Amino acid sequence: MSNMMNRWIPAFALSAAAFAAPLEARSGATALEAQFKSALNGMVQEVRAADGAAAKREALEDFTGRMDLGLEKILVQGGLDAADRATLAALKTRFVLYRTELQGKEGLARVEDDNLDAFAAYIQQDLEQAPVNGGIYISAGALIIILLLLLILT
Amino acid sequence: MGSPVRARHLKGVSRVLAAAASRIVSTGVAGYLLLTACAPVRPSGPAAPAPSRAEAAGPLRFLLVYIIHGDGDYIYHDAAGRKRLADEDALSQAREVAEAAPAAEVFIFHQKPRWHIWRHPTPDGMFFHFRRGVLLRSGSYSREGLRPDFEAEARIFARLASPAMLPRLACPARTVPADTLPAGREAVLREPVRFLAYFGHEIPQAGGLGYSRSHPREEFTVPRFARGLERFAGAPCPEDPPYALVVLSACRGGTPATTRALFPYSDWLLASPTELHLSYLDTRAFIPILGAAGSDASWSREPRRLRVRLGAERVLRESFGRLGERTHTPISLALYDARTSAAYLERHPEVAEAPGAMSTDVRLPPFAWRDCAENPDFGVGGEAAGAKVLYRAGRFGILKSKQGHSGWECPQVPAGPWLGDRQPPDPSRAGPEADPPADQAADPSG
Repeated sequence: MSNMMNRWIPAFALSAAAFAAPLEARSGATALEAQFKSALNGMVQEVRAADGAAAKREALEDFTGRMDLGLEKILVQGGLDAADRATLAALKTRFVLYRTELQGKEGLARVEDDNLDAFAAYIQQDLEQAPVNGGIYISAGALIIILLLLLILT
Repeated sequence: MGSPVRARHLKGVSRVLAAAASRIVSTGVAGYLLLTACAPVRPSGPAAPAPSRAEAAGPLRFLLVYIIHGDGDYIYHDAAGRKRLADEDALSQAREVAEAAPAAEVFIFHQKPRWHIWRHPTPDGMFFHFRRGVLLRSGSYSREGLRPDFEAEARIFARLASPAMLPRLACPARTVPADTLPAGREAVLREPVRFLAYFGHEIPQAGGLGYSRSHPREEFTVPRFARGLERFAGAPCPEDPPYALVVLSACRGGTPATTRALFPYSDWLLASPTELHLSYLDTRAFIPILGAAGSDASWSREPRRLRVRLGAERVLRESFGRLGERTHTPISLALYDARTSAAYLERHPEVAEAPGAMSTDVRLPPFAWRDCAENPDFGVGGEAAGAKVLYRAGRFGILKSKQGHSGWECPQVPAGPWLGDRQPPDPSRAGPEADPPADQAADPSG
């Protein structure tokens, strides 16, 4: 129960932020991006701390799969402006590629057990160096959506 | 409630009230200090007395301008999982170079987010002015209401720079090669050797709204960046660019459009054709060049080109090595001989460019950029095109078997809103539009 509360309380807080009196978009987006990168870093640390290749692979599968599925659902639902839709779709594409390589599909070699920590770091670096908004201003709403996915689904 | 309990209760309440009052006072003081510290410092008044080191013999030979963009998301994590700020790292690096340059005048501009305190905007920039390794002045400044092509920074520069470092107002008259006539040679030697290093996110060709988060209605583009270069050094002249070296430490600085726009301004351009990790390029490798004022003859035109090239190659190699130690993503760094590379691009006009202006809030997805050498009309690029390229494929990803890089990245999709349902190329499918299978990666020389 407390675990659920630990997830749902910040999730509700974020949801409220999305609909509350407007944040100052600049500072809000900066804080949200920091949260996104912190969540990525948490994923990397979780994979590193996992005991054995099977646990590491499961952590990566879980993370990439939930992000892929979550973004798919949001994109299908619609209601996004063109810029946010494009940003979230670009992010989804990256996660599709990560999962594809992790599983060794579409002609890509499967990530070997010895390389799972490095693969987690690769995902982190790939996303950090090309940030979600590509360096250009993005709505706080899109970032909140991403963080909700990370909080609720991971 | 008995007297002792009441007393304890009151004492507890008093402590709470005292703590609250203390916090209010300290916050107020801190707020005052914050306001005063953040109040724009006018860089006027007498210069700080130069210590004896600044009186070292020898000419003031070099001008370095660092522009570090921090008004956006520059968070990254190092290998140990520690959070870092790329712009702060770049600032430390720039200061280190400035302090180790006895024959240089150095300006560092750090563009920062603007905040509001009780609806009053704070300054959104910090500047540092060094001369001969000594910090003469520093302070905050505001970019509000000024053009994004470094107008605010240029104003500070114009006010503080040594007269010899100011932008040239006209192209030097060169009726004969500068090194052959005493007057021409002297004119070349009087002109400082100029460098500019920019650290930030990818600068788009068009659109670019909100590049600086604090100024969401401003556009910052490559043409504006080029205009900004002129503010510190003057307009480009035929056969005589104002800069010896421009360092563009940003993603996709090595596209045909960007390099073409910047080649007129510099003898050499150092940039990354692909995405660049936020730990950036490292210009500290240039310090040995800056430390050697040298004789006048050693800084005449052609020797200067050679010395700058050697220094830039050192930056290239050391940055490449450093990035290779800490990243798993692809690394590509290129040092372009502007004259040779510009001529190469002129001979290959068929290279695809992003036509028209891009939708302002849409960026090309990563798989929409490809090595220009995959276009057979472009050729192999690399050394033949005046580009010294260091490349390492990513440890993962669909191009992990790629052997080299031409030095230029080209967009592969037309401009316009990106189709969110467009799928990445199927590596198992043959065809000109698909990426090659992982075991048959393109292998352009470079």
